[in-house]
Order: sequence, then structure tokens, then C-alpha cells
Amino acid sequence: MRGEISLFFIAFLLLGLALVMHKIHFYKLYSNISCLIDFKFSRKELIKVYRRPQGSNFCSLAIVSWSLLFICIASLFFLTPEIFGFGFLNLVFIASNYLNLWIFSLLVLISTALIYHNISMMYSLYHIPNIYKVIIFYIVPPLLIISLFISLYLGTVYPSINYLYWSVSYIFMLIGEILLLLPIYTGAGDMLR
Amino acid sequence: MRSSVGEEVHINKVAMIKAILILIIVFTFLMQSIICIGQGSDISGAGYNLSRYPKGDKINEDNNSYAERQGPRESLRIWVGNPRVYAEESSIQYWWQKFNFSIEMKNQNLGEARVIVTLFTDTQAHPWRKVASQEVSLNQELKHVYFEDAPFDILDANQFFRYRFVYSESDQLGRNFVEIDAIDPIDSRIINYNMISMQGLINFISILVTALFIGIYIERRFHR
Repeated sequence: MRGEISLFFIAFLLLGLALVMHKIHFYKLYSNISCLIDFKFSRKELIKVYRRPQGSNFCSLAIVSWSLLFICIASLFFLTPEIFGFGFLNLVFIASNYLNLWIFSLLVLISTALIYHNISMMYSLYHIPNIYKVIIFYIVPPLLIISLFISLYLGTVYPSINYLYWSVSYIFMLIGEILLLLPIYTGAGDMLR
Repeated sequence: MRSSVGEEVHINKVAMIKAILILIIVFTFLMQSIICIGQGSDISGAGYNLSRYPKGDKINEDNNSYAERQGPRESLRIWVGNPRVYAEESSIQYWWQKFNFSIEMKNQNLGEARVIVTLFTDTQAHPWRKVASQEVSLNQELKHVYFEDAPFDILDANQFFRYRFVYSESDQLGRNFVEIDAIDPIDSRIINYNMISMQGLINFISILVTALFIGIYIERRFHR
């Protein structure tokens, strides 16, 4: 069980690291541009001017993938009380509802709405190569859908535990997460260099 | 310019949250309506068991007051035996299943006797909950009295249970009830369907459609 908690923190730290790198990237960008021009400008104005359109379809699917990623993480770690001792299935009145898994996902989507709402804006500050776009568009959603299906399946058979399925689901989720964060890591890395 | 940009972003966020909440309410309403129509308005899902029975001390009050009201009459003796319970659909007892409780009864005296039989179940989460009651007519022939019900809910998963038949006449031992401990506990499984089932797939597809809808809506509404 401790191993699974460590795995949760790995997934969480990857997100945190990306956020830190994004912030550093942005402040570096701001300071670089403010050195070049005379007048002062706000960070929001910088975002407005510097935005690079990534394509509506790509951004839509990126938001879908991010929302699926949060549902995957939540269903792997918080659907059953097995790992953290509490889980969504402890909420009796919702857990026994016909659409219990969907309600669970909705709660996750509501609680993470502000994050994936800003994903499009975050991506717009980076130059994303076409290969990354293709990966995020065609590979990440199927990975996350498979991971989600397996983790929900594990929820329905709880208290039976299948560590192989759990590991497969986690690996798929982690690969999806890394691929989604790749533009931020590489973009911020380039800026820091 | 700075304040106007700030206001715009703020309004967009508030509008986004409002829009998502409205969409969620509408989608929930639609999904519940579709399910109700699909089931012919016979909502027998597991969740509805929770509201079927009153909770708390009232049940115990009912039970006690019933026992006091329906005290044994020494004049009439009935014979009671072989109380049994089994889950109807499988050998494993899940909380969402219908259970069949049965007891054999007969009148030890000549003639016909009308007896009220009441079934109670007892778990840690729901102590002595009244399940059902029926009036039976007994003569000298052995009669099987059945109760077919789903008396448990999700809180009863992974718990042992007891059940009690209370009757309005005294039996061969001079008592007016018989109480049995179930041999096996209720199974610990919580969700009452598999992923490869209609309910599982409806849940899964609903999640995907919701995520897709949110992605497209946010991008088209706020970022385009």
C-alpha cells in the first residue's frame, strides 16, 4: 500500500514540477521582453500578445485529455478506500446510485475545472512541435481511456484486488500524463537553457 | 487596459463555472429521465433501497411496540420450525439481492388460526429493521410462510446479520418469536454491476461524453 501512495506522489510531483517550470518559463519570458522595451506592461497583457494559437481541435482534445487524466488519477487512488483508507465508495447515497461512477467523475471534473480550463492558455505560451501535437491528439486519449476503463473495472470488483490490472492502468495513466506535460517540460527547458 | 483585461478574465471564469454547473444539472436530469424511461419508471436500483425504509430509533420503537401490542395469547399454540434464509439469485449473499426468508408453521389445535407474522433483520448498521408483515391462516397441515425482499443496503456489506420472525400467537415453546443468526455474512462487494454490463457501459460512456463535451465547450466558448 505504501508503494501505491508513493506512486500517487510521483504522479502528483510530475504535475507540480510542470507547474513550477511553467512559472519559471513565464517569468523568464516576461523579464526578457521587459528588458527589450521601454514601457511597462502587465503579465496578462503579455499573455494576450504572446499567445500562439495551437489550433482549436488540438486544444479541445488537450482539455479532454487533461480532464480524463484527472479522472484516471482519482479513480485509481480515490475510488475505493483501499489505498488512502477513504474513498468515493464510502459515500453511501452516491455510491449506490445508478450513475455512481459518472457522478464520481463529475465531482472530479468540477474540482479540477480551473486547472484544465487554463491548459489551453498554458500551451499557447509554448512552441509545440507537430510531433507532440500528433502524440497528444492520437495517442494520449486512447491511453487514458484504457487506463480509466481498467481503474473503473477495479472499482466495480472491489474488494477484490488485481495488482496486475492496477499496475497496467497506472502505467498507461503515467505515460499519458508525461506526454501531456512534454510541451511544458521541453519548452521551459529550452527557455532555461 | 490592465483593469479591463483583469475583469474580462474574471468574468470569463465566473461565467465558465456557471455554465458548467448548468450543464451538469441539465445532463443529470436528462440521464435520470432516460434511465427512468428505459426501466419503465420502475426504479428498482440499489440506491433507492436506502430511502425505502425509515431509519433510526423509530424502527426499534416500532419493533418494541409491536411486541408489546402483539403479546402471546396462551389459549392458542402454534408449531413453528425450520426458519431459513437464502439469497435468490446466487449462492453468495450480496446486499442488493432479494432474499427469501421462510418458516414452517402449523396450528396445534383443531380449526383454523389467523396469525400475523412479521420479519425483522438485524445488522450493525440497521439494528432490528422491520422488513415485512403478513397475516397467515394456519390449520393442522404444515405451511411454509415466505418473505421475499431486499432488506439490506450498502452499509450492510461485509456484515453478519440476524433475522427474527415475530408472530401474534405463542409457539410450542411459549414464545412469540424465533431468532436466527445467518451462517454467512453479506458479501463485501459494494458495486452491484460489472463494467461489461449495460449499467457499467452507460456510466463509462457518460464519463467520456461529458469529458468530450467539456473540452469542446471550454475551447469554443472561452479560448477561441
